[in-house]
Amino acid sequence: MRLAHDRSIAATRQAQVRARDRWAQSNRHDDQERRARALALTPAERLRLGESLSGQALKLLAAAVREGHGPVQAPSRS
Amino acid sequence: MGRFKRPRAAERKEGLRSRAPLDAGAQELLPAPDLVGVIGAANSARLPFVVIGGFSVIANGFVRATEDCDLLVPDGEHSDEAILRFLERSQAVRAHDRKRLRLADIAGAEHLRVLSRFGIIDLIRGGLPPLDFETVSARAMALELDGEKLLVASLPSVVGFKRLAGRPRDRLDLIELEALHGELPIEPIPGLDDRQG
Repeated sequence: MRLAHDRSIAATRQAQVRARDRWAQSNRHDDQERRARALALTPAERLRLGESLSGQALKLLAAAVREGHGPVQAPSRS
Repeated sequence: MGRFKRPRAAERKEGLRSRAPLDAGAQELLPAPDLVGVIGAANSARLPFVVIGGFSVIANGFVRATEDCDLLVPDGEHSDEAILRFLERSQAVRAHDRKRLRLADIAGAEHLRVLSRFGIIDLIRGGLPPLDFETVSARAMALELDGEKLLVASLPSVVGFKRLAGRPRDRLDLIELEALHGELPIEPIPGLDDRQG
């Protein structure tokens, strides 16, 4: 009984470690690609990319605010 | 004083030192991520999804740039078939080898990064609770964008994903979200908090 319990705990720990490692590996890869793509952009391409990204970001935030989501307090920075 | 600290300069520099050499794929210029295009294709493919990653940070109030669309998708046969339909509608190929994926490639994959006509898309299976698909989707924000319905990860899920990822960029997101929302909801994350405890 005790052995089965210990094995269950070990299996859970292994699954947790696998999940953490999977995220870490995925994130490292994404970061490398992002840096490489950023280096490849010309200034004009950077501007076009920025316009597109900021437009989408504002539209998404507006959709969240319309549905009553988003920050509940005004930002306070001193 | 917030609980999340800005990354030290040394940590930021480490990111630059570990820069990967440019490969042929990375040098290609990809379109900016088209969120509406992605969710339109996912909805028409009947793929259940929750938007996570940079777009979920934005929806939670911190407006910043993001370069890909991250979708959390469920496990299972039906989901795999829907993912395949989604990839076909998006004209997507796997990022690292430009392969057009088949069902067998999708079934065993926990994370798929694809290049598509809507930009880069990351498809990620849920992890252990509370970052599993069921929990994240149950507490997600239901939004509508240009007539397309979508679920976007709510603050507790975003905080969980960011804490798990733990990169300097993720810590900056947490700092900004804490400044906007006040004290952030911190839940125990398997594989993270059990090691630190």
